[in-house]
Amino acid sequence: MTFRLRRRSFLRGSAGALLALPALEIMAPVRARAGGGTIPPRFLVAFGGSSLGRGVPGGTESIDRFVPTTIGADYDLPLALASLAEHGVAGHVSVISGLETPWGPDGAVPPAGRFPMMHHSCYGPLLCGVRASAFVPVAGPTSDQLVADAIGDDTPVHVMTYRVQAEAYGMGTSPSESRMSYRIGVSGELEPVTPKVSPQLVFQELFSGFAPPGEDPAVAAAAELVRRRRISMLDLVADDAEALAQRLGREDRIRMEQHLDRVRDLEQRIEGFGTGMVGEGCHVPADPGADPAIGTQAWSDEDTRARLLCDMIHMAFTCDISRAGSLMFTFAQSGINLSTIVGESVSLHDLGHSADVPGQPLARVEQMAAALGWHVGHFARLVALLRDTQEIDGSSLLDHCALVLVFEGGHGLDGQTGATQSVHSTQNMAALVAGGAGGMLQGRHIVTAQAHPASVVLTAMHAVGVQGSLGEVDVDIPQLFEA
Amino acid sequence: MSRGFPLLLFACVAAQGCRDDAAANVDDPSDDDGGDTTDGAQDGSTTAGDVPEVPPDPAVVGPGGLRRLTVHEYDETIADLVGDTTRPARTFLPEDARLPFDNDRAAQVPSSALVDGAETLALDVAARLVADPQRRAQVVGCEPSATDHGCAEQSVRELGRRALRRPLTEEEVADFVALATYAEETGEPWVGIETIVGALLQHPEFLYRVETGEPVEDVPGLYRLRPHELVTRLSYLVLGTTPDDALLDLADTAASEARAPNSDELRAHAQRLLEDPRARALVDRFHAMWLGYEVLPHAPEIAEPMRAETRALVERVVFDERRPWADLLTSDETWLTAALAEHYGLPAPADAGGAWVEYGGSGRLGLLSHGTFLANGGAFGDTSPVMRGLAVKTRLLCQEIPPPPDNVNADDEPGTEGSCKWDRWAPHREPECVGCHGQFDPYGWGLENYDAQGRYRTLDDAGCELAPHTTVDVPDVGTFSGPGELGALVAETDVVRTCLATQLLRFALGRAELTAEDQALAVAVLDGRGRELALDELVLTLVTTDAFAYRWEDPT
Repeated sequence: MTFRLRRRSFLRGSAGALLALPALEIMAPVRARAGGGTIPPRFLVAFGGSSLGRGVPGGTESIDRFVPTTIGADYDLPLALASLAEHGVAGHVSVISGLETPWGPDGAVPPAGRFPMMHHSCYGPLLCGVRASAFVPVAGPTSDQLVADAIGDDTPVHVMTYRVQAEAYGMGTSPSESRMSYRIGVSGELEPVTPKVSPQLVFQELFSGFAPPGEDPAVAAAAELVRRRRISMLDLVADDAEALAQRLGREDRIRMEQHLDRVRDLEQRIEGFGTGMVGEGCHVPADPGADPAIGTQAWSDEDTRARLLCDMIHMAFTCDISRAGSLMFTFAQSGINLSTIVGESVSLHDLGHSADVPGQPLARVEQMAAALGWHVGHFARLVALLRDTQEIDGSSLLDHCALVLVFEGGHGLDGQTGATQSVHSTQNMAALVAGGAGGMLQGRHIVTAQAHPASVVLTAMHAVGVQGSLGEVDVDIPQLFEA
Repeated sequence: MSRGFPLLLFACVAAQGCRDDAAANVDDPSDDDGGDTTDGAQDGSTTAGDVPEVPPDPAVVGPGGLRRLTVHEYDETIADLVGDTTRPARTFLPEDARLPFDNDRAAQVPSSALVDGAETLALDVAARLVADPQRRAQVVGCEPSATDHGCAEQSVRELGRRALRRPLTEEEVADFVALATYAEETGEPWVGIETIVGALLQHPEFLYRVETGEPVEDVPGLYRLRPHELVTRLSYLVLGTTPDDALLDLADTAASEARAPNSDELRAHAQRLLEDPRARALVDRFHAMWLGYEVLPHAPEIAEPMRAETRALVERVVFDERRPWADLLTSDETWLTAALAEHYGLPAPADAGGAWVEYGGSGRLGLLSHGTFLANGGAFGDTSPVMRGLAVKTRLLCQEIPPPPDNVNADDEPGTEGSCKWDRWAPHREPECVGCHGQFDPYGWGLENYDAQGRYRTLDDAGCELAPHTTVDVPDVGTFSGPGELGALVAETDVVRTCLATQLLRFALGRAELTAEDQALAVAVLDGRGRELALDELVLTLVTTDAFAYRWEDPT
């Protein structure tokens, strides 16, 4: 019987001896914020790879496509937020505006800040709360991984790491722009977590070998057989990987041991397909079938992909298969082709730049609203699914969720060139928060005084009972918890 | 070709330390000097282990080690192993970064996405194999029984040998055959085979090519690749797929005789593989990754004939006519469909579906004039002389350029003063910028008469004349205007041939990082060959060098 290591608890020393990691705050047991209950909280952070911008059609009057003009409850819905009404979730989604990531020259970057060049500097502080440097854009673990470590221990899938945009669309992107999740690995070092992109693969990860409790015994037995077969294969693979590692040179041995760790993780996950307390809404979704084709430069049907991934995230939450995750809608500085969304072949990145040049026709400004609105629409749809799902105590699943949608940038002063009204700015950023976990207020427009955007993410973390800070950001948005 | 060339070849090849006696085995008809210039070369090792080998100088040995199959290699491999041509790896495995090739070892980090994806992929391939009666009969070759594991054992031995690229030990065979128990449990005979195949395709020695080798006595850090490792490396280099039975048989024989496959054997097999159509596809893909045109930002109606255009030229020069590689840059003909000819403004081909067309006086010559290469550097809806220039300098000439300073926004045009493009880009010619930009912008400007879609133009996006700025002088290279003249200039340089050899080495060894040692290694592999260098000959030489048969790992 192979000894199973719990990756999160131990380091493998050089002689194969086991060393315990120092007890880090992030590993502290969770304390539920609003009275303990049997219903676990769920967490999702979603990312859109574009600045919000601010359109100036006709050259004089500027309009904000994203930030409402009214404050508090029942806020008005600008163009990009129209889908909140379409899905009937405006009362569950709060808009946090007036956010700002500070910046400074490389070498003198303020805490949780970025260096002046726009690209590669924004997403790190936003997602992990640690200041970015030119060499290390993301310098700390991200919220999804921290939350998973705190509340996802006894779920079969520890953390969901998914991405919608299927390919780089010809932008010479660096790999760091294609992912949003980072964690502390077994070696104690920060490592990126590659997202899964294929809906078919996600379906296998979440539901292969899963039988909801109370399922027909024959179905349950079939699922159990699937699990056993998978584990038999993985056992053989793991044993041989371990034997192979011993025969390899130093560098390769480390590589093979990393591979081995992942294999063991997968085995543990399959074994852990338990029978948590889940509501009636839990069922294995229909097999999504073959993935949409990855189009070259055209479109990889990211619309279908987003829908499929959100459906599966919803069901993973419903069945308590996983409680934490990240969903990257679009790459940082995304070059995704918007022809299906705005009716014209243009990249999100180029549109973001051109739509806000003063004097652009209103149609152009509206195209950018549609592009942002595409992200919001899928987010809103997921919020609606969660709202319409009942937990075992009759409450809405959404009451136990904290979901955040952040965008890469805002608009205003470009710290690098001095241009004002630029999309190359992390002034005037905004984010969406949904769900009632931890007693969060829902459906408010809250204007902050240059709060850090990671504070919104931190708020969601606090809402699901994870204490402490996100990197160098230790303040959340208290208005979301005030009575 | 000078009469002295074959002599030079032998002498340099000998200095490379080829491990057998080239003179005894190669009957080069033009070599009428007897070819006995083999000082330093070892005795022919066609007989078992007679002569102890002289280990090579580590300075001419490249790195090696564990190398994961790329997405592309995985798909090619399962096509050969189980007849699966649906290319499922692209769906389930994370995409390989292009650096510029897809097989950089350092970038191959085993993520959960990879391991989970590999499992899903293996289960998917196995399930579809056993569900296809025709394929499974062909691949497995026997009819499994739910209770008797004879067929399972036979397929483990045969399929396992091919999948893991070496014979399995008895213990390994038993471990795999044990998976056939699921056939008994379910009463379905093929479930056992399905489980076995699923395990084989997740096995670390399937997913990874082990190129670690045996340590060489008395030379710490130097390792000699084992026969199976060496034939695997050869097969993936030339064909991009798993070694076939003939290569595995060679490895088995060599291993049983306690020797390495010798140069003749390797060269002969490499020659055989080069004649396989998949070698053409691989060479085409090698160039596409190297020169940055694997994916074109154009509509398929234009992108597909463009790729076909370049593929046709590569195949013609490298395979059909076996001309010097540099002819790729100076060819005065190109293969066009009628649509593409119209797009370029070139004469229509004799066959609307595609034929060779002469460039004539159009100013175009060779690959640099193709829409594929010219697609490099599209930005802001137009071309970027910077990005084009960088493509020439870093990709084609292997010359490194440091990244821009932190306070530079590379996202927008450099300046907005003036309406003409030349004026808008004036800041690059300022003293604080020209030190870097002067190294590559000129290449881009020299190509500015060709837009991002490869069409000729005389005016820029603002309607200004481009002509004054598109004749450029590049120090140490020459003066040129347009891709034809650039190609002709570059074709004469040693720099481009060193770059070709360097890139080939990077691809062969799976190494993105360019070090000074790699460049020296490339020069050594080139053997002083000049303009007449042919790519297939370079590949055949490469597979017989020590860089290919050994690996070096810093022992400290």
